[in-house]
Amino acid sequence: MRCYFLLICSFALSIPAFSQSAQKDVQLAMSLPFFKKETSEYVIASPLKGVLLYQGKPLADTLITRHMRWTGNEDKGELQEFYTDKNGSFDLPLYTKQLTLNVLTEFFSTQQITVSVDNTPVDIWYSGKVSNDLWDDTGGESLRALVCDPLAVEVAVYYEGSGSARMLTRCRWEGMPEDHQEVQNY
Amino acid sequence: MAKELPPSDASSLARDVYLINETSEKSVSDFLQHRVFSQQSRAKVLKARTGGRVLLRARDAFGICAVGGGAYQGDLFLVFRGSTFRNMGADWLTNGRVGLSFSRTGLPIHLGFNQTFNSMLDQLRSFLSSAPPGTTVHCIGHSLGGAIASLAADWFSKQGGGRAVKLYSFGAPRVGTESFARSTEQSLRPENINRAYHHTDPVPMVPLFPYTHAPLNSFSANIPSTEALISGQAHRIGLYIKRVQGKSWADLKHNVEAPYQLESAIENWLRSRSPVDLNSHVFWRWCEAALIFVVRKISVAALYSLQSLMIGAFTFADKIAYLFLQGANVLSRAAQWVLLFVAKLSRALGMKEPKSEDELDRSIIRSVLISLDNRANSNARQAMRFV
Repeated sequence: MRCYFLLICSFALSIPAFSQSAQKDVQLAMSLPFFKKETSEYVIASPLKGVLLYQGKPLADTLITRHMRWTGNEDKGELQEFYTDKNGSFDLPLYTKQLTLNVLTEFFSTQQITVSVDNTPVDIWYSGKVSNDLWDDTGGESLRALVCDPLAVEVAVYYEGSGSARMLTRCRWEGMPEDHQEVQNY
Repeated sequence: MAKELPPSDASSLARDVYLINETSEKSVSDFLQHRVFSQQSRAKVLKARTGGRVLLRARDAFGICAVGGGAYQGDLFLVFRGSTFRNMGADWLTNGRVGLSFSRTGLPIHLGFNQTFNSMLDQLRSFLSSAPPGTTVHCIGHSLGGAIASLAADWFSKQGGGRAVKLYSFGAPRVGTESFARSTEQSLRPENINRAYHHTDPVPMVPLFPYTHAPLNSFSANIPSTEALISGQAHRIGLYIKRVQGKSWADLKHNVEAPYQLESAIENWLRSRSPVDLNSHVFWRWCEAALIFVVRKISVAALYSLQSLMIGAFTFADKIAYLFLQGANVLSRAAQWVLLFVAKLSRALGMKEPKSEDELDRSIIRSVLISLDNRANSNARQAMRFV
């Protein structure tokens, strides 16, 4: 018992002496080159090609903006602008980025697409990518016969029995999953 | 009886919270479309009394709070993740806040996690006060988010109000000492602690002793994995989602782990001079079991004193080195175990091996333990986002 008492007392008395060495250990640990970084090309947003309608008619020469965010650039992201042609068609290209990340970094990205109707912005598409795979943000495939209408009901689309909504959209396409429901607003 | 989230839903929520950006209302809306919130209905989001927002903000972590619908009608969901900065730097594993402090419930826990949790506490109290009594609270998170979820679940379970509290963590690091883990286990009850981890995920292995996980004496959801420890691939939330798909928590908790607690097995491991693989999760499990074994040999009383006295920003190495040396000097029967342990680690780390008890001094022990700790944290940091 005396041994234990001496042990505990001597430890308690020596506490101040440790704090300085602790700081040095931390500095040493932080300076060691633990990680390799690699520069690779990442798919930030998959292509989206379709037609923009309004009250059943093509919306020609209409501004479409795509705001993308990704790992390491979540706050500001990047904003792109496109215009529909005379037939209301749009073609948002594949967007990739050279990123320098640790090879094990978890990669996430989102894209939000907005159209301007009577000077009012309306969201027509929002989706997230949880991997670097192409088409991860469109349900795993290129969407066919995509039609977007700012007046359409915004729906949340679910895939493969997952509880997560992978996209929020006012667009409809051929082969669209039946598992979707109107977006609930809070 | 409180309804429990299946692993598939808990893991998808733990992933989806990473997609939320605080400046994007759309991302919050997308998250809240998850079926547990919006099963054809009446889900709503709680507004905090202060700030009027549902997002819980702290320097190191982020959380979202919402009320369930459908089968989870009225349940409170708290989903956490590390902040972007903390996720990318992963310095919460090795920074000066790796020491211990006291939790809100009065027990020794990780200093850094405690500070993060405390910075959210006022917001959490506000949400809790808005929730009807008797509702279930589900605390969810991956990695650092899992650590915060663990602290939140512990705190909620001790607030009374007749609420069932359930914890779901994936690849979470350790948050407290054995006394904290025991307390959490007692108030939450083991059946409400759903801690999932891959065998080769390095993050749940840190910080090293005296940190440990709850539940102590019941099974966690340990998931066999073949991804190399050093790759950190087993830490990916996407892999957790894939591996728990279609399984229940009972299925996942059914796996039995190797007998790392058998004293005879530990003694054999210490005496063995076979080469060890620092990249193997098996090495780390044995290493830690051996560390606790050696400390116990010195003094069971010192084991508990060590946990309660280590307050502040000290390194693991300093504390254990002091204890080992005192133990080797004071109790000769413990000296042989200290020597075997330090010698084995020296060989594994490629350092000069002490050959006799006379060669043991604080500097040598400390150097070996620092290298061991750095290697453990290196493995864990490789699993985290880093730029």
